Amino acid sequence: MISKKSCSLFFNKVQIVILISLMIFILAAKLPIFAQEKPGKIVVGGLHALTGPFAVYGEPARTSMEIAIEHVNESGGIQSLGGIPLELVFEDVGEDVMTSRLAAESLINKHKPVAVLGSMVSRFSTAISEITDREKVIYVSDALVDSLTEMGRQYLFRPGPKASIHGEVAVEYVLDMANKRGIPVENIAILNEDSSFGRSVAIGAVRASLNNNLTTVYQKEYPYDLNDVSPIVEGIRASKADFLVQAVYYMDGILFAKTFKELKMIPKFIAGMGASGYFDPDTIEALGESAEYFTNTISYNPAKDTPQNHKFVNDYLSRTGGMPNEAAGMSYYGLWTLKEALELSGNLFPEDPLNPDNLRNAFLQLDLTSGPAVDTFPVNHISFNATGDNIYAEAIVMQVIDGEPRVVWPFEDAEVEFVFPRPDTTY
Amino acid sequence: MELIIQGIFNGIFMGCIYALITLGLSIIFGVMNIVNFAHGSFVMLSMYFSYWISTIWGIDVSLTPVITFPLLFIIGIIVYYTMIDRTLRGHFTIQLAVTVGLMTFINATTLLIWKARPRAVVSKLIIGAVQIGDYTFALSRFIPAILSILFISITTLFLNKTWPGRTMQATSDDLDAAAIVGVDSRKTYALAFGLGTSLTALAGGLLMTFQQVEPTMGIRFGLLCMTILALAGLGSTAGILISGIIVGLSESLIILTWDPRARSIIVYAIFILVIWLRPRGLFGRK
Repeated sequence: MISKKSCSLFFNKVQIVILISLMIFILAAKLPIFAQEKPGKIVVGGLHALTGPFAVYGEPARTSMEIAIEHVNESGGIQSLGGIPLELVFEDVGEDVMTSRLAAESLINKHKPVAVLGSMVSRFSTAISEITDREKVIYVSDALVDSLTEMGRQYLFRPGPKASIHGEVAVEYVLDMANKRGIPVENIAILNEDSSFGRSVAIGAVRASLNNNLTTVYQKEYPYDLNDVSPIVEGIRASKADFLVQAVYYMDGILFAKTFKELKMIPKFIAGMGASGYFDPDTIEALGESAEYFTNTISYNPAKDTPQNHKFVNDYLSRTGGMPNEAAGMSYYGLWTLKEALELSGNLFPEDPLNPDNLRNAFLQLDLTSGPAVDTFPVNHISFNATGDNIYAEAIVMQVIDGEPRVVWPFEDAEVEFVFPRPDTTY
Repeated sequence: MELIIQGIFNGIFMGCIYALITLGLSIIFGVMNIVNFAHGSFVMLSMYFSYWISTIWGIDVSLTPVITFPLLFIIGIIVYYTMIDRTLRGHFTIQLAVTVGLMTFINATTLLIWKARPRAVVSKLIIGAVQIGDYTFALSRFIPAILSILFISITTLFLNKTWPGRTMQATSDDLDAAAIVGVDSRKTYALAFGLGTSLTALAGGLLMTFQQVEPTMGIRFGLLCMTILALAGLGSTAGILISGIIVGLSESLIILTWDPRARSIIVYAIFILVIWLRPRGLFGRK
């Protein structure tokens, strides 16, 4: 027989067990909520060269990333995550692949960013992407070499136009201008600096010239550190090329421009394709009048007539005293693209929006046709394919006219009318 | 054929400028038996000085050596007394470390001051081209080439016909014998280092008429100078001129007829061949 006391004890024990079970159940049920608890801030990493020869890209990129972070936070942070602000942490990638790799390792280990942005230099970005993929950190890259997105990286996204697009654009716009002016162009010369970027650009130019039935009468790769380029300029003249497309950097652009002008061997048109040469402010200052009429393709349109772009340009001007260059522009819209992906991840995966796989899925599902990222992007559409490239990416063209680089192509976005052929052409 | 002849002239012009750059290194090495790894960096530094003087004071860049020559001479003297003099009696590896350190210091300093952006100015005096028959010569190569030959000739005269020049040669030939006849070797070394450094100012000013300057180009010029010096050997300024022209011609013709990327291969292949077959150089004294 069970006594009343034993029965009471039993029920007391049952009550305690039920109570504990209930508490465990509630706690267990609550756990995902704890997992979802929002962090106070979302850390974003910047990886750019702040020292060494590539600081020429890194410094403007850092400034514009700082501006972008301020703008994002002013606009309410990541709203789908309850308005969490972004915080930028920066690491100097130095001047070679090894220091880039170490910088990426250090930044990721120290700060655990949800994403990193940078670093413009293709070989640095390739090294960084190894680390980010291994650590499952989203990498929004502004390096343009084609091969970067052809290596099967899972967490890499590139909003800007890849190198070969620059090459294609360079050929297409020269043909567009020639058609508009009714001037036949048949023979093309293609030059590129012998980096992987230069080669990718040249491949795009070759593809476009084949598609347009142009005859390539001169093609060479050259190292940037040539002391004299007269033999190349004379070779182009001897080939009777109607126009030249050239992947040209700061270093070689000045020497080439001076030599074309001095030797008076100037084809109908000389079009830069990517790599910042011919139209950057330093080159224009260094060349004086010799800089006139050179063009280059660029992955950012500083003249885009949108409120967001004006806001960025004005803030950048007030901080640095100069217009944002390509590196600055790409960093700005890169960060806004990340912001949009975070918003989407917050909506699609509210239980774990910062999980790298969820954020990756959000990137892949982005289809932006408006907003700050698009407002500062050369074209009005950002959407990524499985390799991480923006399928709508396009470059614009700027021409030095009256000592200032001006947008001349696409024609609908042009600030001023293009000059074609060059008034100083000599053959 | 027209293109080849044009390329030959271009190569000769560039070779003369290369020879002027190398002359300073040759004097320092010949007199002091020191391989100055910072020589190319001094060329770069003088180009930056030319750029600065030209942009700040509005002096045409081709005339800036009037200021940079004495400036680099003083810098050379200071570097000699503060750094080089202390190493002369040490092991050659100490001299090597000091000049490599100096090179790194100059390169890093220029990067800090002028940033990584290339700098250039437009010369208003040396600009344009002359047309002779079918051939076009850029004045920014032609005039510097002529001036280089002139400066090399003046330096040769200085070395052969003046007392300080002869003391340098005497010190180079036999330090002890020179000391017996009253040559102060320290002062002679200082003069040699100052002169060798200041000659980079002439080259720098002339290069800036058509080149741009950026912080990595010192190493490029340093290697080029050492190649030309090794080709020429010691003791002949004419040899340096001819070796410079060999290098300039090789570069020009390779770029013109083959592949610009191959220019270093050919230049250094010639260098290796000469060192192998004639270790004292093409014009070197025994």
